[in-house]
Amino acid sequence: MAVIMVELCGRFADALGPTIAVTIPDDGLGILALRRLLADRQPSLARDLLNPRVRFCVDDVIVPDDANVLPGQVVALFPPLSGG
Amino acid sequence: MAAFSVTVGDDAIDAAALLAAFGRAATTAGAIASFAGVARRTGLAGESLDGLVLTGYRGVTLTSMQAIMVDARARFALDDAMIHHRIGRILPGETIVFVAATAGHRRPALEAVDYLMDRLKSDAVLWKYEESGDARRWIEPRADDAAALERWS
Repeated sequence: MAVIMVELCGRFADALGPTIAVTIPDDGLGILALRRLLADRQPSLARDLLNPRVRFCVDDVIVPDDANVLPGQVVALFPPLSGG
Repeated sequence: MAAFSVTVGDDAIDAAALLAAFGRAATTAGAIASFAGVARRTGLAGESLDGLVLTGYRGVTLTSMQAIMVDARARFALDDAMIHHRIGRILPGETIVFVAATAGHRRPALEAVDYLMDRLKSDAVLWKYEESGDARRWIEPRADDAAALERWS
């Protein structure tokens, strides 16, 4: 098992601080499983984590739910984007 | 020569100066279209706003906008285009974003600016909140932003 720090962005960081530590298997964890794990860890995020506009970024690339996160990768959780 | 630029920074944007420089450089265009988004002075409930704060994420904010520009170039017959987006704290009345496009004729220039703004609203890696006194209100895409984006699918 390995610990990764999930960076929180936007209003998530406002509510919960800059990072959440998550333990994942050495051979990685799927994004969908990571959504569920974070929802269990942070009930206040549970509803947001069901929203497909809430996305994960792994090593500076926004990834789909079937992507995998490996120990050592830089992971961030994005609230719905709001530019312009 | 065609120029396509994407800039993200925390310096104030002078939209008039950007448009003037963009127009001078657009020597082949028959049409120049532009849009400037400006920080509001009042919020949804009519409250007076003190500022708008935009945050991004590492280099991903810039690359997300570059990807939007690539899509615009593929979609419209453009000669030149520009996205200039501000981040950080923006005062009411100041420019948040400036977008411009040139083309041989008006329709692709106008549509490209419309497209770039719709995409920036939903796909640029940015988050923003309004400040009013001690309160902050995070702004997220509305249903009409999603509908606007749907027009291009």
